[in-house]
Amino acid sequence: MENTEQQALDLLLRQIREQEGEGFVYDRAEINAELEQSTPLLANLPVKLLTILGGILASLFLLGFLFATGLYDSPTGMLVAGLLLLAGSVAVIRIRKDTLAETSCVSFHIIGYLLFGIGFSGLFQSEDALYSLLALMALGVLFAAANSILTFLAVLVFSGSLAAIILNHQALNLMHGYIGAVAGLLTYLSLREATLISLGSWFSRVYGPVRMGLVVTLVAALALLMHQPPLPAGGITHYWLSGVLLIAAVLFVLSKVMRQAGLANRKQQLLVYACCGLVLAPTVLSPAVPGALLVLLTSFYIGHKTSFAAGVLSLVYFVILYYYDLQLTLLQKSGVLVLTGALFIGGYLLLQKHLKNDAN
Amino acid sequence: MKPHITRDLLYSIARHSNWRPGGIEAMLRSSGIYAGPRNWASLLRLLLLGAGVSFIVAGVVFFFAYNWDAMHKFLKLGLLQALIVIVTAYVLLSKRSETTRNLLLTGNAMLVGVLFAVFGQVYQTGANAYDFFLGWTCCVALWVAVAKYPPLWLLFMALVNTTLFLYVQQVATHWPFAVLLDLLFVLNGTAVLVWELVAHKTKNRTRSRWLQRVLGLAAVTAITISLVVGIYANMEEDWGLCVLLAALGYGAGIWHGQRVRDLFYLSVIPFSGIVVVASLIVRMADKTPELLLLLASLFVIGSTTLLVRNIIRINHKWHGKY
Repeated sequence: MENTEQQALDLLLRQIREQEGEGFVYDRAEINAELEQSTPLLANLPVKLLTILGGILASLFLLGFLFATGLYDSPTGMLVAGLLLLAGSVAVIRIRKDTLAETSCVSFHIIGYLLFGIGFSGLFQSEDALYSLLALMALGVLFAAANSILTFLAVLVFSGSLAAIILNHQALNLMHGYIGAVAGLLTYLSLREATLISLGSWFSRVYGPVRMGLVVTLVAALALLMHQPPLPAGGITHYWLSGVLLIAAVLFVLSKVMRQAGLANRKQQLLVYACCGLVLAPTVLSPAVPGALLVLLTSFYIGHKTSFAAGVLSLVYFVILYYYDLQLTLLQKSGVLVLTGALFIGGYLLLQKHLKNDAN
Repeated sequence: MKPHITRDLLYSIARHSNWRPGGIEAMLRSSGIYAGPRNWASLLRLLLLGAGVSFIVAGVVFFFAYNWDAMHKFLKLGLLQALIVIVTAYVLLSKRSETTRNLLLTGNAMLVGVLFAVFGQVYQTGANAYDFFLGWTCCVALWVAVAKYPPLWLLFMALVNTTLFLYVQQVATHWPFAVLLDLLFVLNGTAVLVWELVAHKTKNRTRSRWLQRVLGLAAVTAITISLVVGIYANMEEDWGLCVLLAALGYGAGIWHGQRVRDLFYLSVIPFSGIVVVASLIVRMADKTPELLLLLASLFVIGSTTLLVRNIIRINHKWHGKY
């Protein structure tokens, strides 16, 4: 590290000691070593994206190679190769922390899941067993792999396997519980970041990728809910269950925001709850809208730009879908839209006035 | 000297110290990583205004899409024209903030599209005719140039791309697919150039660069597909033009990325190169597919690793360790 950066770190540590008192102890050498290895803030997103995209591209070619060698003819071979690749990639990434290890391990890891899945399906006819094993392996990776991309993939595989088990058993309305659990976990993680990362090294390592994995899981589950594939026996019903859970989560986040923003006036708080309730109530049968809003709010709360962008895009998409699916004539829809738009503009003007008054 | 505090830095300290949760949360707030009351107010303002304008414009779209028989065609067209004139006058004369006026202008640009759609509805000109989009594009071009507002520019570029796509589909049907992709590259690449020039002239480098990135990504995607299609079509049909455009565009992009210290260009352009070279390797796989597929895979891993290392090194040189 450069001298100026060392001085800046010293200054920050001194500042923390002033706030925490003399009992504050730290391991300066470990912090330095970790910072030397970490990806800088501005390069973080391109590095992660390139590693994932490069990993997927390399996996496709490698998969092509494995199939061209005739591995596809042997389910046992694929199963064993998949397990070896999964275990090998986790082991290598624990030992070596360089970029080459990360890029290649991501590729091998993705292929590992794919080969294991195809091989297992070829040997055994139990989908439940396959999804359960995938979920268990993903849990193992979550605890064993000290790497953010593998952790992120593990969350996706774990949550995807759970959803697959639910759909496979046609216990379709359990999806509401699934969505509620993911939303609850996302809210908890977002509002308790400081507590969680202070619990220990493992928690602070997995916090970011697990949260991002939950964001992707929630958006994907909501998209599934809104675009049900041809499911037997009428598909998912009782949409209000997810709707109520998600609206409650949004209101809970809002209560925390109001507390943080110093909005102590009970009347003002009630007004905010009433306005939000009014806006969200019509979406109780379309839970994707409050779900996307939850992603947006929790991400903005902790200042996470990537998941905030995911929240904005999914909100726009689900709002369009909401109005598209509305069982009204175009003329009635037009009236509802103009009225809602006018309400929002009215809210904007009121807010402007309120903020101006506060400033004076 | 004020330390530059990042989330990663705080995480590292938390991992190797007995820092209490309350202290960490206070630091996340005071360092501006967490949103403060001002940030929330800005978000709420933008959400309310953006949603308000979008919903009203969508309402107008739905109203005219209903194609109300009882309403005379002149009334339909007149209503829309009056609405456009009123909003334009308000944008010109109002003393509201620039963001508010720009948002209204963007909504107005959408209304111009509705006007053309109603015209098409009345006179049965077809909803996906290229001249419908061409007319819309030309009519809003002046607002786009004057406002220099990124969302309005994005709408404009979507219109330009759609017009070109439909023109090739409906009129220039004999044009090869690669030529369409090359033209899309030139169009989007030129738009990036214009925006970079605007950013340079206004000395406003800190402003969000999302528009350049979206357009840059569109340009790079188009030329990458064109190059890959050319490789699989045995490099027929203007592949030379495509290579020349890619060489010029990529060279300029890398040079500019280094000049303005933007990692976007230095990541996206080389990755496109990796995709093209990997496709070239696989294209040669007619005789010995196994080996060349393995080679392509190893090439992607190796080159991505080198690229990532290079990005970290350059970033370190430009902005320091964090």
